[in-house]
Amino acid sequence: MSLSSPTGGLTFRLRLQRGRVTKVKIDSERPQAAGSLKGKTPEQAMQLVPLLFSLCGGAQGVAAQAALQAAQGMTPEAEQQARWAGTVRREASTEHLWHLMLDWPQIFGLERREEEYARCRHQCLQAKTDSDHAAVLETIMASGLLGMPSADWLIQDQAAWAAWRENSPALGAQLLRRLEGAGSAGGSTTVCLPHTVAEDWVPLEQEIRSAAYCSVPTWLGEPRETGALARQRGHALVAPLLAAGRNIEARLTARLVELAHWACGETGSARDWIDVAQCGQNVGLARVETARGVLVHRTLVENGTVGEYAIVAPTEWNFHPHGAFAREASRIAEPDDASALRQAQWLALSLDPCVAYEMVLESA
Amino acid sequence: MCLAIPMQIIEIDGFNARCTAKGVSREVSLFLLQGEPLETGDFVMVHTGYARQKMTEQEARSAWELYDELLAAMETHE
Repeated sequence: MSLSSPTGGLTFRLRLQRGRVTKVKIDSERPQAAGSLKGKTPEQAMQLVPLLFSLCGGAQGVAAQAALQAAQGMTPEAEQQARWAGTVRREASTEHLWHLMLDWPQIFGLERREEEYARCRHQCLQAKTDSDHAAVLETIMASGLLGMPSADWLIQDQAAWAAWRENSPALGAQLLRRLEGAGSAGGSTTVCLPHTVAEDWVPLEQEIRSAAYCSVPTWLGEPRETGALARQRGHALVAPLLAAGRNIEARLTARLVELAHWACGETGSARDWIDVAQCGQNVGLARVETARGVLVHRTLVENGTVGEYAIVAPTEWNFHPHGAFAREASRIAEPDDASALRQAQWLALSLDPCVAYEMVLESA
Repeated sequence: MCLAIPMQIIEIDGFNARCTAKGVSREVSLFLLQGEPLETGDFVMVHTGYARQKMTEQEARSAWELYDELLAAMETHE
């Protein structure tokens, strides 16, 4: 047995012809770990879920607790829901910061902000209140990522935004400058998931029971993009990029926008982050917004044990065989293969799969 | 889903560690856990080369029991 086998990964196979991508295939070897919770008691399942999932262990743990409680007829108190939302949001902020301070700088050959990130992550996860969390974020946003107070950055008009982007030494602006024009070939092709609440998933509950649906989920019959872009696509700094088909820049900007809002203490209601639905006898469903997008847990609890467990995770939406990565990668047309490969790598990073992945080039 | 592997630290050199699980060893970065007291023999959750969280031996054992069931189920389906 190899150590990599339980966690699986993604392989992106691109066929290139003189800088143009002519075929995209996504191979996923990601196991459906949720099924292994069958037969456990709800208490065991609640303890195990955060031990299995690394990047979003907090969100997965919250979703498990919420779904398992709902399946047993319990509805979360407002205080508990607020606590869960705080856990999910703090974790989401550390994932966004990882993406912006480590992943993107590395791909551009810039210095990874490792020490700064490690300190900030620790402080975010230790924050006791939303205002503590906001203060930690504001420090890193104002100094490193935006180079100005988040509140001022968020309300910039297009001229001020363009000037910031062109001239600021802040990391956020540096990254956007390097992405200038990336991913604009073929225009906008992104179809995002709408904002949902748990009740919206109840009509899909029978489909969610199947491992096949969880591997390649669809909304109204089609794959959709989920994540920061889907949540922030209407924001004044994001919408123009999206309209211009500059989706990679739009995704990066959407993450900055979310962090800036949280740094300002604008966190929305607990229900924006986590809510539950009961789907008939003994079946509970939880919907959680994570850094990478919507996460749904559905479980059946019978005779004190978990009878069924299913998870629909964000990476399955964004890396669906016909989803955002596949659609946008198939439109890449660059002067040469090296540039096309670079665009594909940027695209994959902008969608940020939560597992290891590799890009394989296949000759035409 | 971002599954993590529970591993045991067998050697630490600054922010780098050699960790082991099921007889397989890997180089793992500890930089995310700066400020947390870590020593050889401790267990950590590892994802793509980074230790993300410290865990107890019991937690590591519970997670591996589940992985063993998962792997057995995968082999049955192959």
